[in-house]
Amino acid sequence: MTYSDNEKTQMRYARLAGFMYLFVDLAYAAGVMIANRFEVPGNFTETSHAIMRSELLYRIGLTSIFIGALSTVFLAMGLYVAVKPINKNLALLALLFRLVEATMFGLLSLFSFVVLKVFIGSDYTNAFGSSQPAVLVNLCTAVYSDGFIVAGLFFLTGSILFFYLFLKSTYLPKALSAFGLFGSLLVTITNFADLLLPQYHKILHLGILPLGVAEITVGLWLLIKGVNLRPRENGTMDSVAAQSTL
Amino acid sequence: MTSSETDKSQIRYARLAGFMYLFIIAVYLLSVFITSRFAVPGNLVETAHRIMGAELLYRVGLSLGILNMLCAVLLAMGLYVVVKPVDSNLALLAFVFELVYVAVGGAFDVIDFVFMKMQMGAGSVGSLDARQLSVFIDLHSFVSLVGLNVTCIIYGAGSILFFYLFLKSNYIPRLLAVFGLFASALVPIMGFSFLIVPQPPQMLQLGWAPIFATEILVGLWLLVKGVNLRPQGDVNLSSATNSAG
Repeated sequence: MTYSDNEKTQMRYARLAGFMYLFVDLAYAAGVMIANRFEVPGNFTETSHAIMRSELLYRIGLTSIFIGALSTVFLAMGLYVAVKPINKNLALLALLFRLVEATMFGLLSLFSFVVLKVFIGSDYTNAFGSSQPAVLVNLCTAVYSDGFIVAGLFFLTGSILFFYLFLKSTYLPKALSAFGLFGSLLVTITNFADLLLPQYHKILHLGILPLGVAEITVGLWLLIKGVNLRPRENGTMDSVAAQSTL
Repeated sequence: MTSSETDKSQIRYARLAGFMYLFIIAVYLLSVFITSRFAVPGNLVETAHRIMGAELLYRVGLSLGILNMLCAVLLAMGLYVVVKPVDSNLALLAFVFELVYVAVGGAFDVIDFVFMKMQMGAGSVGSLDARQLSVFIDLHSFVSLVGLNVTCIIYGAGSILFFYLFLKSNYIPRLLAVFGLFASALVPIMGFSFLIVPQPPQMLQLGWAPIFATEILVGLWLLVKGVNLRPQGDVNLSSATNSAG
């Protein structure tokens, strides 16, 4: 099967998106897992000592989360180029949502480092006593976790649009696109619910599972098989051609 | 738009980018010059008092940082238009990185204003003692350092892509493009080093020098000579045409 140069580019970016889906998920998961290892719930001093014992590892965890956030730009760009022929405007809109997400996560990374600074700085406890630094840490953690939810809403809107465009095309198996769309919609609902009913955070957080599975599956699919460009020629060629000229 | 009109537009944007490279560096240096005048090493209370004594000037110094971010959008737009014919997707990716950089950098600038306000409030009403104020200012320095490195990593990613496209295009001398690519690659390396290593060696600071030199050289080149569009037309016009689609 021969591809035109534009199709080759599309295929290349689809594979980039596939790789980035896996990479972003891995970077986040690794970062969160590392950072959580240090947390002793409700005990500022213990957490602080655990971090001081292995500050480098803790920093690697925080940086890994930041790398995940930054890599979203590559993921979004890969998806944008892959689905652009379906509807250029919607693809651009999805790209923009994912950019806002990357920006917000980039900013949130600051708060995680502020928390680190307060944890490792014995000056804080000496100057303010043990309770006030703990209040600052709690405040930063609250900003970080609520910010995570809000940034997540931008991520999800972008994700809904990208999966909708995949569903409209035949680039991916329909079931996979539909599952991704369902997963994105579900997390949007649970994220809003989390803002309204934070006491159910643990249960609501489980809503991420379908999207997590969808992202890993789509990531593997795109990385290994790329996008299926041929059936599109029969089904929606007219609309594709019309959009491409925009 | 005809081909020559496109060329003219490309050259205009190249000159804009060149000017912006230089303008941003000048504004940055001025901003650092102003804000550093307020710092009294080892005497944080005196620093807070100095700021209170000439608050307007200090605010000017901080505002120049925000002006820089605004100009960075113009720089990114200029570079995007110039290198778009080489590979429109990669040019867009580079542009997008620079926009994320501006948004994150702008927010960090706002944080500087917040700290200034808190610092002045703390100093004037005496709500914090000297040790507490010292810790507070130390936190500000740390936040500024993290902010600088986070934004530099994002900026570096865009810069790498722009210089890669310059290298692919022959718009500027290859040597300059290669040097720019090398200097841009150093930026995220430096940024990550500062984030990961608890006490990075002072020597590492030298890593900022190449990007500084590159931006001045490329800025001057683009401003004075614009971009050399002809060789690109001969060498890889076909790939440029494909990518532009």
